[in-house]
Amino acid sequence: MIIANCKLKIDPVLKFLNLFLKNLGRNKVRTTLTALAVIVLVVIYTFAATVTDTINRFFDSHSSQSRLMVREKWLIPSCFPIRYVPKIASVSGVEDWTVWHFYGVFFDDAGHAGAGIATRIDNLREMHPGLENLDPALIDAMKRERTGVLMGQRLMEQMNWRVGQRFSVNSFTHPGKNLQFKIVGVLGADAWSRNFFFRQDYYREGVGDMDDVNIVWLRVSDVETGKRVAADVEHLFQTSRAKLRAETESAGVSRVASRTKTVINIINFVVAILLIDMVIVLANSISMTVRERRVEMAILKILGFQPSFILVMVIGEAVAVGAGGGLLGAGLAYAFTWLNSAGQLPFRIDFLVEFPVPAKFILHGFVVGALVGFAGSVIPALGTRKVRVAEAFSDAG
Amino acid sequence: MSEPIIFVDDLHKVYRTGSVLVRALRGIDFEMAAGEFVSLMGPSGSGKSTLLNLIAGLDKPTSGRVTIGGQVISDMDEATVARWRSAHVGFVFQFYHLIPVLTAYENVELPLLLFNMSAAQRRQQVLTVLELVSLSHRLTHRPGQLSGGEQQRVGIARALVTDPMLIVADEPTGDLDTHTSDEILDLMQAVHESLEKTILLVTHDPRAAGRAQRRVQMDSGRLSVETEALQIDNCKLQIEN
Amino acid sequence: MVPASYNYRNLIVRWKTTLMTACGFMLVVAALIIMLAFVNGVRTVCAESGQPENVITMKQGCSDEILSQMDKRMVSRIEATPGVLRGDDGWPLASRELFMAITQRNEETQQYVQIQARGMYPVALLVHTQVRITRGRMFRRNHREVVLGIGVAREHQIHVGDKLPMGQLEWDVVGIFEAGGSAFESEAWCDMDQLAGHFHREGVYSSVVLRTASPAAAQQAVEYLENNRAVAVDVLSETDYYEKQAQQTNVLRAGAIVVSVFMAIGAVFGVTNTMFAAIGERVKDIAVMRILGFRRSEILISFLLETLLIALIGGALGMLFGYAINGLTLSTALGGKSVAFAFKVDAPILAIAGVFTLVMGVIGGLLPAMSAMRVEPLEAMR
Repeated sequence: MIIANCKLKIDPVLKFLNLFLKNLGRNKVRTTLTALAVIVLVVIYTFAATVTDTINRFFDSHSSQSRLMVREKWLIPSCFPIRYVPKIASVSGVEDWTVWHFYGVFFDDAGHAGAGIATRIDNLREMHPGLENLDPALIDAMKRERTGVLMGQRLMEQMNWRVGQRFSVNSFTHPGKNLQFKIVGVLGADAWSRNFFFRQDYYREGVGDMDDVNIVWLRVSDVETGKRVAADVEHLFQTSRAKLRAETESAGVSRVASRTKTVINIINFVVAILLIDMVIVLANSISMTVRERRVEMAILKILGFQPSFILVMVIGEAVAVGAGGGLLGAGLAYAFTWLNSAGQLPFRIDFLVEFPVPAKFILHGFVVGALVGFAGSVIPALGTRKVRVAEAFSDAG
Repeated sequence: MSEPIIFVDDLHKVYRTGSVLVRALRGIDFEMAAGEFVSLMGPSGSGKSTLLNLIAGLDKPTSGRVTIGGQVISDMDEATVARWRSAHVGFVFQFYHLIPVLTAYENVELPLLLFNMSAAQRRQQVLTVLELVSLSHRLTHRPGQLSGGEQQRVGIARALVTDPMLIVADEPTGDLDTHTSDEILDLMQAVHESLEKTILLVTHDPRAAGRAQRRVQMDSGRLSVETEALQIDNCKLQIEN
Repeated sequence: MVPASYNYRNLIVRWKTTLMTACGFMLVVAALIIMLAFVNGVRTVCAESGQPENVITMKQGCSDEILSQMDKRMVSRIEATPGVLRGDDGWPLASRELFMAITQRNEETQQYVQIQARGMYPVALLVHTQVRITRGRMFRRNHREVVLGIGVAREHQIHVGDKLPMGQLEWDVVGIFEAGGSAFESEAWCDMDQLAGHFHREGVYSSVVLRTASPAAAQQAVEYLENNRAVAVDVLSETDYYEKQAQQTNVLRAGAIVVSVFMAIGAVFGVTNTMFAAIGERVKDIAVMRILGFRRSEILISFLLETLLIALIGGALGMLFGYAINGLTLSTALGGKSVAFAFKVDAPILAIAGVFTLVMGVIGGLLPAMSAMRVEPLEAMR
């Protein structure tokens, strides 16, 4: 026979796959139930994680250190005289600037709302994070069309509007000052999906509000210049009627972020519970499996398999169930929000449209499932080290 | 008779159950020649399983040495002894202990997975031993679909597949009826004779023990009687009568 | 009947599995209770804030006080609404209020603190009758003084006698008030003219709250103002206004239920697993019981009972943990405001948790118990 000449070597690959797969199929009911539990939990985990991820990404995309927000020092919503703007813009170190006038509207009587922003169009791309790649042709089109708007994608979908269409709004920030617009283009970026941008000159004429501005944005070259410019701006208006606050965008965002803290914390708490729940379900399932297979594990040890092989086998089984369940769960969640947004389902959950599951979460679900499988199986797997070979013999004497 | 390959020197084993110290082995000296078929008998708790475990490298003695084929296995660490065992010892169990989810073929193949062999090499080896135990027609059956006797044949094939120098059989007929027991014992005897395997058979059953060339009796952790080279033919005669 | 001690003993013997399975239930129940207690706490704040006799008016189109700005002329017209009660001095019980969210940067920590200030005249206390000064005294007219809602005082650890920076200046904290757990407790109240003067909001009001004799009278006042073309206001009874604010928590509550249902499904799969394994190990027991003369239905009930026992252990632990959060105070954003609230675990929430536990137990136990019922005794003994 051949054996005698063969070098001993454990080859941890394909040849063990058969044993491994057959073990998974051994208790089909249990494997299925465990996988289903993981799938269900990962679906909801994915939704919850998507909500926090979307919010965090929004904050991250507004974390520039070289963009300064200038606003009224104390009040929300901020509002200060427009005659301050030239003074602010001429502070040395300011490379570019724009203004914001808020214009909140209802599009219809059903309460579909949007947040309008009247601003400078010429440097729209340069001054707004996420709009850097906007088609310059749209900017030109906006320059030609006085009543033009660039609409957020979600607003377009929600209202089922087309480019070129005209519409009028019912403003709740400027009652009675209802403007008419013509849609010039759609913004591609997620972050502005509920906003629409239009021309400042049209706003000032149409609303007749010649005096106030809500926010001024400044761009500076670097963090240090930013600090100096902020200090200069605040100092410049120290004694004026309305005091100003200038801060980096990231500082401003962290202030807003702190308001969502409680809800985010609760979601994170739920996410943690979901993960613990998954670990428990898997750990329970795996420890039952281990208990039922003690004798077999003793046999494997007697046949010469290393304890570490058995350990890996048990962990591998849990990781496979976890990762498979995670992949499927996240995939389902992804498919669900995608179909939901596309209106392919018989119903539509509006809340989820705001939080589409990104494709990367499918991989994320896979990894989380695998990690959960690992976490859940380590202790039961370590328990297999206690399996004594004597358990396979007829007489424990 | 060839040279001895198994030496057991003054073997002691003490273990603890709860607060009680159990002296399972109290100084065993024992030898087995290559190609010898020895049966080990003794009542429950006499220490025969302990001795078996130590000879097979499944446990460590409290004192004394076990040397097999020139290697002191009682000094090896667990990982080394596990590899050594996979190449040099084959096991046959009372309850067959096949892996229920694997087919007969896959069960026999299992120990070979630990070796650096190609799939074709493994296949050849597995088919050879299954042929030897007359189970070539049952390759794709799972243990649950086989009779007790057939399962034990798979068990024997699994013990043989790595071509070990020693086969340890622990009550291989304990769970079988008389007729099937005889078939299995015939098979083991055939393995001994045609393949010249060294076999250590632990049993309660005097008829099974009678198949061995030499009978060793254990009692209270000591070897009590050694019956040298019983005439096998006599035994057979007795049984048939 | 199979004695319950059989099930009980088995659970003890398999205590690790029992505990782990029960932990699944515990997590579901605890998470459910905590999420619902959060929503309940916020809703309680809203429910306490509104009084049905009060009517709140804001500039048209403004759903939130923070956006509303009205001038003197409009405010005077609102105050002339028929049905508004009059005080001893003959003036209408109409509280002009200026609500401002003031962000204050702590120069040391660079952290922002948001103070919600409400400027008002003395008549406010006759309108918001649930407000009681519990420590110190009310602020005086034309003094730079504030009284703090208990929620703010607790959150920022401010006491009577401390200074509260708002804008350029520091204000004297002269009192602490309670308002039945309402949103007002998250505010700092001060003199209208002082506040408006300091922040250049003279002649601007965010809202006017009118006191009427009864909920019915309030409703009439609402209708009167809605139909009055001369005043472009949004008008609601105070109860409705806060009810609308509370509706923002509907999404959260729906989310809580959905999350819990999904978690429950996970726990059900877990307990089904456990029970299948338990029954697998005890097929011989079941066979013996059947041979001894127990009926199939008794076996079914016995195992269902065992599952419910696990469920109840988990449910009880979950309620214990969930209940621990009762009374914990935090603050959260509600519309443009931030309100202090206390997690509130009440009987309906515990009842929902109990129902969840039982339903999970029954669903999780049914399939395994049915498989136990179908065990054929002779086959199993072989």
